[in-house]
Amino acid sequence: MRVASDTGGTFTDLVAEDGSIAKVPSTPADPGEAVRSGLGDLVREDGVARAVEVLAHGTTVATNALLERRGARVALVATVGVADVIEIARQDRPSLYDPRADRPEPLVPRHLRFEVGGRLDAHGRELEPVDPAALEAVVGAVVDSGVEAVAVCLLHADLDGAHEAQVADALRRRGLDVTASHELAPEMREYERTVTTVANAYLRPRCRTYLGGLASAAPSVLVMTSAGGLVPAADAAERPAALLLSGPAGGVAAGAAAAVANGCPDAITFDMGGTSTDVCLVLGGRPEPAAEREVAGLPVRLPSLDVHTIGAGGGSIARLDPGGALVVGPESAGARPGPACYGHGGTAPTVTDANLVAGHLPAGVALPGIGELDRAAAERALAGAGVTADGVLAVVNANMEQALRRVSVERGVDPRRLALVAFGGAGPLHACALADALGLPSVIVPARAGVLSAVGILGAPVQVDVVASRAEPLDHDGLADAVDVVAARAEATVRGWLGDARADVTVTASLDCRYLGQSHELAVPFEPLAGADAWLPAFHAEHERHNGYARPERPVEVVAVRASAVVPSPVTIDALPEPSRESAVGPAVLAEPDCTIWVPPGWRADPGAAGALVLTRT
Amino acid sequence: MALDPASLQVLLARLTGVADEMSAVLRRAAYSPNIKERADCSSAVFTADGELLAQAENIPVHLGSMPASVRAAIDRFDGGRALVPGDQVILNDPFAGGTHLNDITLVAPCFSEGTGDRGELLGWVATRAHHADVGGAAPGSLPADATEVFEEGLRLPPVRLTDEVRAILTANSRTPAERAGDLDAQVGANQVGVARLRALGGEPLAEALEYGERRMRAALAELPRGTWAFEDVVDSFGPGDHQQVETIIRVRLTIDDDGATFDFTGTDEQRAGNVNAVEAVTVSAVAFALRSVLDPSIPANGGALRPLHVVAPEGTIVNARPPTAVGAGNVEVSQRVADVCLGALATARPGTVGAASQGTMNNLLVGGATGAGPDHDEAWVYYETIGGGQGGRWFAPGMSGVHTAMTNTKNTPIEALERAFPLRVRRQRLRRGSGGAGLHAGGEGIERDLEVLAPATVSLITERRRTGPWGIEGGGPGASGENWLLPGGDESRAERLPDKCTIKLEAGDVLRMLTPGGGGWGWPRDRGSAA
Repeated sequence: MRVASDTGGTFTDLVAEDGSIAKVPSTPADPGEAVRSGLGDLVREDGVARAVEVLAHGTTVATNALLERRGARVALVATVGVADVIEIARQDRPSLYDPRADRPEPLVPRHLRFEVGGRLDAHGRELEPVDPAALEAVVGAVVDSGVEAVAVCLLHADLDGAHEAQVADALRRRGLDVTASHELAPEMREYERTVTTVANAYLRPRCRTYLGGLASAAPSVLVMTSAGGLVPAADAAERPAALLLSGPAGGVAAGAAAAVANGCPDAITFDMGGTSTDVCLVLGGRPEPAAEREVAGLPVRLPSLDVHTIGAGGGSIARLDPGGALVVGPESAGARPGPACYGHGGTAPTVTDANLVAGHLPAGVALPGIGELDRAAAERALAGAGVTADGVLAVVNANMEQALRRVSVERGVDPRRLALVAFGGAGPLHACALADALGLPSVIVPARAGVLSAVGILGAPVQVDVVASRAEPLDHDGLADAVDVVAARAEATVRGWLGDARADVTVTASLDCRYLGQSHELAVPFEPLAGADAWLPAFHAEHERHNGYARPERPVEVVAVRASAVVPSPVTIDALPEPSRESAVGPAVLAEPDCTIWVPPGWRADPGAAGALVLTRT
Repeated sequence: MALDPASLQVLLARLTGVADEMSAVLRRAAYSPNIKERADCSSAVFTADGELLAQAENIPVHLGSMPASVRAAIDRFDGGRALVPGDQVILNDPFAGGTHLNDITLVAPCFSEGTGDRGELLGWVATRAHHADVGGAAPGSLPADATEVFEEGLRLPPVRLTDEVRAILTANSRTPAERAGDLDAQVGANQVGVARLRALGGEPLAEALEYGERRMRAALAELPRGTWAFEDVVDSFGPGDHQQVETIIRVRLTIDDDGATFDFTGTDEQRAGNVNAVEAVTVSAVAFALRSVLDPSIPANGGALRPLHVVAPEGTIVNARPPTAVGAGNVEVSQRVADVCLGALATARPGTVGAASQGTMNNLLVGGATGAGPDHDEAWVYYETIGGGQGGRWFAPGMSGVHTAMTNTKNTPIEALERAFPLRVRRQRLRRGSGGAGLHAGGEGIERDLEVLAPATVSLITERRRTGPWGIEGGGPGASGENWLLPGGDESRAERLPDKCTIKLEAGDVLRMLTPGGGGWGWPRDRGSAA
């Protein structure tokens, strides 16, 4: 049996391929404890013990270790003259006007930054070799510094990794745990690549321990990456930087699947929780990819999904500001004391209190882990702050509306042709109001909306992404060969994990393109069978869609080639047993065990495909 | 108050959303790295009368200076009555709504009807972007030795943007393809802004201004009443020996029930160089200083600016008259105006303002002939500004290697720079020990060695090469900056360069720039215990 688990801040959710669910309290000290306990619940269902063959696991261990700065002591080895790249960063400050705002503390302090000679030019050709004697001196200094791990990131190593390999080998011979940038993230832009490499070195000892401890939970343990694919736990432990943005990936994937199943391949996923909200654009059934995102102010240059997060959710606190405007957030009541209606001592009015008073949350129904909500306390909190329930909801919806515009209108996509896929504790309470504000035709609430992330992990493919930078971006002659190289590497990696006999490996390739003189790239699919230059018109079209114009007369640079090897999950999540849901006409509150859906006047809800509830205007 | 608290907040969010969306479109569609990567651009929304409703600025020097552009368009086009839907007004004339010639602003009217009958004028939208080259005597259009605006490039008073105007603009730039692409992005951003503002046409937009004014007055009420003075200098106004003369900027800050007045009476006259700011730039720097000392969450709209009064005597370095050159007014004088305003505010309310930051943008413009750059059909131009030390703060040391005050543009990654231009970065590290001493030390500057791999013309426009950023509350000054030329990369032949110069380099020459450290905050512990 295949089982997926997703570790959240409060609960750890598990879903099995037969559709059964377990929800157990998370155990932050050792997150694996909750996973094992949940597995125990699942396999003993009906009193019949069932064997778990594959555990697909979503973990926040890497993310939390970075947020809380509980990683290893790391040294950085950089090209001579530029080791301070990790502190200078991109030289911008985090806030234009707030002198209190600080940049994140560099992950490597000054005394652990080392420099080696040797230099490549802009084409990856050697200008100066690495001097062996000087290298030995640096290696000695690194050893003497007593660090637990080392990151090596040299200029232009994405074009040629030979110098980095030479340095990394010398360090490894002394028994050091080394991450080299060309092995992890061979992509242009040295600051972003350096931080990604350092973060990997910083997180690896902790992630090895954690994932090693989980190995006994099932014969095969797979781990969800930021890109929305699964990799074996042993590989995940070596590349923990690739896990940093995996948190929302499962929900987005399952949301996209629910949208496709209901005939809406173009959609926005809307996951509103207690303290934050994640939105992601889905086009053609595929969540939009991102080549780089930030965690706690640090760039992570590895494939991920283009999820936009805002710091507002059900726990966000409402207040009047000194100018008489109603403000919601960024302060949050969190899980403790939580909203006033939780009855845990919270007195500040939250979005959840407003939903309760407005009648969008049912009074008298107990929420899991919280108990019955106290409507009188919610009313007192709102009145005490001088705000109304409708006012709080109008403001938070206006904030959410901006987030949805960010991922649609601002990317050149008209929201009026998109479905809104709502999940998370608060998503289905606000979805119809947002659909009205932006003219979206329908709202889809997937089956198992309360454990959707685990569902997405259950259905996620095994996936490997490989990238290589191009030393001669204007030279298009060698493209097919370059793509063959990365495609072969991706495929070989997957076959190495799953066995050479697999027949269901799919390899796709893409090119990172831009017009000469531009600084940002767009990914364009590359299909060898479509003809050598078929990608070129595709790039012009993609540029037109994304940026509103094309420049077909300009030279095009291909700065990187990418390949992705994928083996689909044996579980089709659309085929999981469907929960029983019934039609309703608004106004109606549909209270389900793990989520509550608000159907406003003028809307109706009907059962759709794959167990989803589809809401449309009457 | 006509609007309830929630409706007011929703209106504010929508207005901010319009400006944000315009900026997103602008950056998404922009062609040049200067806008796309460095984000040297801004967008704003205005009432029909030209009052600022909301702004999305990426660099503070655009804050407060955009209304002058809309005012110029209103004056030139009969309050908007001479325009029809779809018209856009382009301008960069520093003496008619602009700041310096590189900053091209596009202003579009928003009418209640889309086409045909143009309906009622609902408001205006505007985008501003720094165009890397608009002609003039040196690549990058900021020649360090300019004395008249005519040397700084093409000057556009407020005119309708037509194909003809566009042709004139691209013909006057060393990089026409980039200019066309960036202009298209600005046009598209304004179109988005017009459509979204039209959708808000029925809303009581003035409420947002009233709100801004209430917030600003509430914040000002927390400052003490009185008058405080502060002064500082601009080190030089050009490369020549006769230009190595300090120019004093004096401010008297008065806070009373009417608001805050920044009076620059007593400031030196404008100079025969490019270190001259037009009034819009001065207003911008004043608004920055006030905003960073008060609550940064106060909306940056025209209402919030109402209690703010700026007195900048005509013909001084903070309100220059034509036809003087003004290139460095925007990038350097603005920094010193911010410094003196922050200094005055620090005197008014000690303990809540940091020491002086690097106080310069360290502008470096480099370009060369066709054939050596990324596009063999065009000449190449590269513009960068370099971070330095932030002043020590009342609670913590200053940050090192960052942009401060009036700019916040990102650097170009070394790998991106070297792959696009015939340039190589030999060194980029923090300048150890350059931060001013203090209980909270100033941040450190940057050391940067840039080698040119092909013959090139370089303009440097820098400040704080003689004076150092001041410390405060007993802290020491930050190290002043230094510019050097290493012919052929040879350390032994290193020669000191002036703070402002335009020079020709040969392949293999290395430019070395050491940027200033920030001043220190508070007595250093050792000195304090000895006292």
